[in-house]
Amino acid sequence: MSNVKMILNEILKTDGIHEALIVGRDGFVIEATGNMEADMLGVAVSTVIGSIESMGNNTNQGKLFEVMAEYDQGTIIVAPVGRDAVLGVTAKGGANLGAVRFAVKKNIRELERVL
Amino acid sequence: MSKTIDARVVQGVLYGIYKSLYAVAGASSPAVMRQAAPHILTALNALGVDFTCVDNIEKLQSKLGETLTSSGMCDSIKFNIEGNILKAEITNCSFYDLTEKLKSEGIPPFGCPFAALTIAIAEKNLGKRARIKNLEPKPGGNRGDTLLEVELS
Repeated sequence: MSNVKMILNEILKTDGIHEALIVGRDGFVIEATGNMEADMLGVAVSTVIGSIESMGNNTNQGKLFEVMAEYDQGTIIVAPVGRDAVLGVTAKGGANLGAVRFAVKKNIRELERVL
Repeated sequence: MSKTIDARVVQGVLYGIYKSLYAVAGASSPAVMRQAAPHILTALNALGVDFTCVDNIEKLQSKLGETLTSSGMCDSIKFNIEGNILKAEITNCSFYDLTEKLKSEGIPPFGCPFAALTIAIAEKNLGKRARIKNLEPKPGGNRGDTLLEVELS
């Protein structure tokens, strides 16, 4: 099993997290865990981070750390991993978002190291 | 409806689209092109350009090469594979000036139609995962000659 897959599986152990994936900025799915339409989510994750970064750049907000989208059935968190990759995590509705965010933040550097 | 259109007009339209897309999606603009490529294949199919026969690199070269050259997108395109890298040498690319203009403004060549179609066909017909590894003017080549490298996995 690849190091990236191991880290994604580690993230998946957090209660409430359904799926996790790593994509390149070009939308290429590098690795994914959980049941999902990885290619579709990969493109969405990549373009979301690009759009939000551009919005921040245009308003001088500095470096982007995380994007969180809350829906009535769940939450999606997207975070840049270095310059070339993006982490996307989906969590079920009612999940402890503090724990989910912690799991994301805790594993970003490790993902940067292995990618 | 006219069957031909001035390439400069096409380049002008694409320039506006690519520049605004990059302003909106930034470094993730290539992901939009990845999403667009299968739709381009579908549209070409509706126009009678059928890529379903492509099931190996040789057919990719002949079919895609025939389509792109007959439509005036380049003079020729030659594929070869080295390990897991699919290399394409494009001669006299019709989008070269557009690409150079965008690059001079800090916009990478994410919209390259040669790359988009090659990746889409490789993924759909050859069962490979594919992404751009490199796209640059061919070293030592003439103006318009381009080297495209696609990584297959």
